[in-house]
Amino acid sequence: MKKYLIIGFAAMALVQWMVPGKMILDREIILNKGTAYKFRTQPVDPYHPFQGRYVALSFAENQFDVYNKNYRTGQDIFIGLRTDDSGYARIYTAGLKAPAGTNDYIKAKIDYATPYSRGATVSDSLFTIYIRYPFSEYYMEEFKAPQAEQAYRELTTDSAHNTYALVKIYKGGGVIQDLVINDKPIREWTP
Amino acid sequence: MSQRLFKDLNELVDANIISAETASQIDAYYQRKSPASSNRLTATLSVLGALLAGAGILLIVGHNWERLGKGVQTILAFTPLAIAQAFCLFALLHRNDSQTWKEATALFLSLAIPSCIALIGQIYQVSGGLDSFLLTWVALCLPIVYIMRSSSVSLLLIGLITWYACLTGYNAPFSYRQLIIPYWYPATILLLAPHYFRLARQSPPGNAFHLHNWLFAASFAITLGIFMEKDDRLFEWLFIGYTCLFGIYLLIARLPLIKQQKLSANPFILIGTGGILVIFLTWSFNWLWIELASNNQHNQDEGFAVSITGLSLLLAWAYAYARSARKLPLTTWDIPSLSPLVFAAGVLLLKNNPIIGILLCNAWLLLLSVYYIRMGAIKDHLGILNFGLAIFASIAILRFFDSNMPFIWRGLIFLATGAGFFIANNLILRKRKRMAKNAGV
Repeated sequence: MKKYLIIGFAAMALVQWMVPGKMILDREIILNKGTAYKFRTQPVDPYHPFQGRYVALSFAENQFDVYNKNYRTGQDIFIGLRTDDSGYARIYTAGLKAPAGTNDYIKAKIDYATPYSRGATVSDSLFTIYIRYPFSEYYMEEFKAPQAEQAYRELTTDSAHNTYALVKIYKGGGVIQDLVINDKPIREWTP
Repeated sequence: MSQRLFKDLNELVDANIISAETASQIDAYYQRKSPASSNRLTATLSVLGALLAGAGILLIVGHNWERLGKGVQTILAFTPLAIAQAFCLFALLHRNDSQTWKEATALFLSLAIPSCIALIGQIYQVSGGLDSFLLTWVALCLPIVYIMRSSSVSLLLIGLITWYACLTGYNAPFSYRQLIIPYWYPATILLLAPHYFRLARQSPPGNAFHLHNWLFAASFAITLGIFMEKDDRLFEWLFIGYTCLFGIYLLIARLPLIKQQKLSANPFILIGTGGILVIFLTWSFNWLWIELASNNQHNQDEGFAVSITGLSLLLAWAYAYARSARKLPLTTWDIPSLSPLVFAAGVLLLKNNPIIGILLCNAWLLLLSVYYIRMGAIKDHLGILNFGLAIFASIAILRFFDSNMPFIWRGLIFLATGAGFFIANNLILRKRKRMAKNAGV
């Protein structure tokens, strides 16, 4: 009986190391092999009961128009990315399957979908999907985070400042490398 | 044995009330008993220590030590996990007979796991959300319950999976917006069931069994709303579902294993009775009945609708009631556990008759009040008797705010309630005095 318990314990302990280990491995692969994209950001409010304080991010590039009305809230969606002329990330495709011939795509979730509408133009066949990226929290040291959040909030509303998240993208995954204000990482930023 | 008892024993021997032999037997009895209670204290303190140490690590991790660098942070993430696993292995190999060791180390391990995941989450900016964090935590801790035979981890997991279910399943209380159904909740509860039944088989059942009863009863009551269909046409079924759940609780409370316990160790009777009373008191007002009638009129064109979850619960209650009633003689039939039938019949058949519906709810509450007053009188139990009177008083207080009832009636109800409290308590106290006097003679 005790022998089986020990074998069971060893298996359990192994899984308890493998799950966080896999978390590390997946992200290390993205950081090493991924392409860096700059995502223009907009701000919101920060706290996770176990992981601590963070700067909550919402991205300017968060919507895409599609000819498909069957998209639902919470559905997985693959987002193909390119860099635009000003150096920021741009969505060029969105679909239920990963885009072929590239590693630069993200597996995100649909926040919600609405019929296309821009000013007076309303379409019956075109829909706008709003995207929830798998990276929206930037964790920081407890005492730095609120100040950073405030600075970030003030600066992102002022278009004269340049704020973006530097995210490594690789085969559906994305890891935030840095949050940058006026070309300086937020950790080094002082008001 | 306490110094005080020791002194009292000597005093009783000196006064020739008990013999020296009886005194030494009492002394020996308490000497035998004390190790068990001191073991319980050690176990409680150890579990509390592990809980505090684990929670402390979790909070320290929450600070975020980004200045230490990725390598050091990763080592720090796995250090508490490695230490906790080493403690657990030591407990399994060398302290397998000590439940205290197993409980404390298991609980420490179950708190070292989230601290490890949280630190890696910080290092790599993982934004999975609290729900997926809780689910990973529960999944990695489940084997600990069986390998370490730990009830404290099982209790922690019931709490965590309830939290997860609420995060994913509830948009806002009683909201009709359908979110994701957290199927991992029933799956986890089923996986914890064998541990619970093992605790139930122990004789006599320990504190862990009672704590599981409390957490399970509370957890099911909290999460039931998630599994009810979110549809305007089925809003009465949410209440039928809850009445059935509370009705089933009252039937569970009649099982011999639960019935023998103290009231504080019987969550099924406390939550069941409380829940049923709250539902009937809420429906004793007219607003829900009016909403039900207008909903019914509005939805008539859309055809008959029934909630599968609600109907299943109603059938489950009916089956449990039939089984329970077969075992008990007719006279001891429990009126409160019939409440689901009365409520379901009321809201389903009286949709277009709010007045009769309101009267039915008030009449049923009155009957419950009389039932408890009578039971209190028969059992010579002032607590039960006053509980019955308190139900009556609640009806009176709620009707006080009901502008549909004439002042004269409301006044009379209040006078009757006050007189009822006074007369019933007085009668019981007199009966007790008379019995004490007869016993004295």
